[in-house]
Amino acid sequence: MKPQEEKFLPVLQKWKQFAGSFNFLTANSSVMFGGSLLLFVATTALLAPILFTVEPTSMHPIDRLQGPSQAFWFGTDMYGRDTYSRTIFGCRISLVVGFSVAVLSISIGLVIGLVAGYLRWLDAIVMRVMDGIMAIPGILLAIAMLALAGASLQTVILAITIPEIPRVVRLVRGIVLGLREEPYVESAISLGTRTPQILIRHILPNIMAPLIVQGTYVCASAMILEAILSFLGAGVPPETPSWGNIMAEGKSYFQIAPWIIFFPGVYLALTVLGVNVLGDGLRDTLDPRLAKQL
Amino acid sequence: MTTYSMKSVDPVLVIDGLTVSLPPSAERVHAVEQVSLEVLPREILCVVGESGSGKSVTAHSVMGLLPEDQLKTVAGTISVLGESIIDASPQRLRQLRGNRMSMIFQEPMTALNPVMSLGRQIEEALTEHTNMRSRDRLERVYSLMDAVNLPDKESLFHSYPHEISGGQRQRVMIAMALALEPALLIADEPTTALDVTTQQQILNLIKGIQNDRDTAVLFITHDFGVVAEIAHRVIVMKDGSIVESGNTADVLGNPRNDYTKMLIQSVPSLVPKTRSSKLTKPIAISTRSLEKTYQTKSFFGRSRTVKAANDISFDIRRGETLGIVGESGSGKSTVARCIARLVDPSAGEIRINDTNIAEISQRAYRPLRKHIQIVFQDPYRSLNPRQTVGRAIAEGPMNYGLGRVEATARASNLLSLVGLDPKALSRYPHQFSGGQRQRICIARALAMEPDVLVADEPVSALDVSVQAQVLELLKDLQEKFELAILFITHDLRVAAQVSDNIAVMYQGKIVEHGSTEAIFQNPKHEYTKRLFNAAPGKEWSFS
Repeated sequence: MKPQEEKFLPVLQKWKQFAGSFNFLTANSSVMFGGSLLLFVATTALLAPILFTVEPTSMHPIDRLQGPSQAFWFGTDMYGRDTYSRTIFGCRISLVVGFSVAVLSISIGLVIGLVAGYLRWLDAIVMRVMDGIMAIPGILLAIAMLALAGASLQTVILAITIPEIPRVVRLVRGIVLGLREEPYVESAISLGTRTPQILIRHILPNIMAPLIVQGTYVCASAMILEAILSFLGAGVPPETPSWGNIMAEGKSYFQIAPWIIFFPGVYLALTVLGVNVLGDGLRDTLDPRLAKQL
Repeated sequence: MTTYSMKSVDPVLVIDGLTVSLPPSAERVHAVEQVSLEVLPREILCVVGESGSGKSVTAHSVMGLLPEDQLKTVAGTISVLGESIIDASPQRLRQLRGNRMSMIFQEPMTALNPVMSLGRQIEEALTEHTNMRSRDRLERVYSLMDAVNLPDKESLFHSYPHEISGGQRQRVMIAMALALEPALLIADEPTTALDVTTQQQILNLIKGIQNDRDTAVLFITHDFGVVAEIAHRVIVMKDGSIVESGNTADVLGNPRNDYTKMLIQSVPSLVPKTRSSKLTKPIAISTRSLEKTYQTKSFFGRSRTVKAANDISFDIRRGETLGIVGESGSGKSTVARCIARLVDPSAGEIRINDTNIAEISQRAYRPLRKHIQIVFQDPYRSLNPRQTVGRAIAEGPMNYGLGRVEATARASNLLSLVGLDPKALSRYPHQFSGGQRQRICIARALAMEPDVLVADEPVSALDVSVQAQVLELLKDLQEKFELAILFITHDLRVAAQVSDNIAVMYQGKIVEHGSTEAIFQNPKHEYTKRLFNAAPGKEWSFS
């Protein structure tokens, strides 16, 4: 062995150990399938500036409504824009919306849910507020917010996040209510552990698994909602190539140029499928008990 | 107890060389191995063993109720009235269940359908298996309810499981099991979830029914008291194999196998030990007129007040154990939780070191918390599954300012003190058995160097041999640290062995309080007498 190789040996071993700790995940076929689909879409989104064939916003009226061909893989729309390039740039919007909404609603919901579930006196107040938020239809809220603040990616993310929060709060609160009565939490109380520490040390680690799973479902539904909002013209600005926007523009030409709707539709369906299957797989691997309940 | 001339009649159940395999990941290869037994008509055969001994698997194989993806019958035969169970088709098996054999389970609440009236549930077997007319069925249901001594049949017929008591639920289960007059009744720990007085009634009921109807009974239990009470013959199982079998009197009185001997010796005696007086020791904790009331407030309906504990007064001296005995719902756990300030008492005093801790706020109480520590019943839920054992034990001292290094050193000392390897500090709770976990919980409580240890049913979830070890450990630690122990238990045998004094609780009140010897020799209160009478196997001294 060369001395240079020897130097890397401990690093290699460490890496192997690290990779090995994910074995339980790779053993589950749902995780593998969903993860691969998502990885494919994420790579596409990341490499969109390299993978694209024609500038997504440039119009070529002479080539409008062309079917899929060697020059335009997914065909062109009514302005002669390349559907393939627009679709792969659309990946970015969908993933950004999906992940931002998931992260935001899970983090905000987690904090509110922990507090509401653990502190009895706050519970009733917080939950009534959450009931109130749940009564607001998500799409109407989004349209209202866009009317007030103007169309932008941030507004869309915020508009989808707000109605998702109560769902996360309910989940977290429900689990915390159960965990609060667990003898190990009561032991911690009698050991003099302070409330914030009890929440962080004893309760939080035991809700992470269901929370990650919930996160994947939130992510999938946020992607669909974003597409719906864009389709309705209440989403990201129309000049941005998002799947919803592409489909909205293509809907009048559906009979003569179905590819405009078909390809972004397929991407959307595959991405959502990937996220949901990944969520199911994670549910089974992270918490086998939950798998039986759901 | 009746004696039986063996082989004079054909057995109802014959198991021959039964071997059931476990999934490859399990600790051992076979759940049960080479088990052979027979149950004659009018006979109660008790299968006794600790958890994991394979007794329930044996019972479930007879009913054809094994989860086939995990447990496979690899050898042996089971026949009920001459018909093989293992070769029976699923349809035939369904007919046999109920008609020839039926089963009652440990937890009557989960075994009954919560949204179906009790009468309909008893009737269901008749509807499924017979062509009786509905009027005849109804009469049959009423006669079954009579047979299991259920009161007020008409109204109970239309009641739902949550509206009746645990004992009544188990009676309904037995009525269901008897509906088709099976030749074989399998009872899988049918009284384990019940209070001792209810247990006695159910045991008498099973004995009576079995006698009247010539039923053969296969009775699964872990409790030697119950065995002494009900069995004609006993089979002792360990790790899936039969280690000893014979008539009840022989096995209990003169066990030959070492394991059986050990098990029987582990059963605590009902005769209290004489213990040295601790009257000279200082009082560690005292309560005066302690009270806890629960109020259920509802938005529209009337609010209800329940007195869970009422007028509780006692003293515990250093090095002394006060046993609180009582049945479920008697308020004994409420007292424990009040004293550990896990719930706030409604009235009264709790004094430690001349401070009344009942009235001070949680914030003011925090510095005093370390004086009182608690150990819970369920060792599987008492430890955070995602926290290492070392971290769990060190948590308390670290809360009060001890450095991580010192706290870990203390944790390691405590682990060896409770009989575990100090190297286990970095392991997680699921890597330990129930008894080991309870030791860890005790170590965690001791890490705080408390004056008072509240032990809320600390050995109820443990097997009898492990129970004996944990009780021994508690005794040693008490002597070493002069701990005052408040020991909550429903088990009179355990109470007799560990307590200096006993308080008997009934409906939230202490109805009798005195030295253990005095109470066991001469119980005065009606309820105490009833409780003592119901203790299973009281004629047997075991150890």
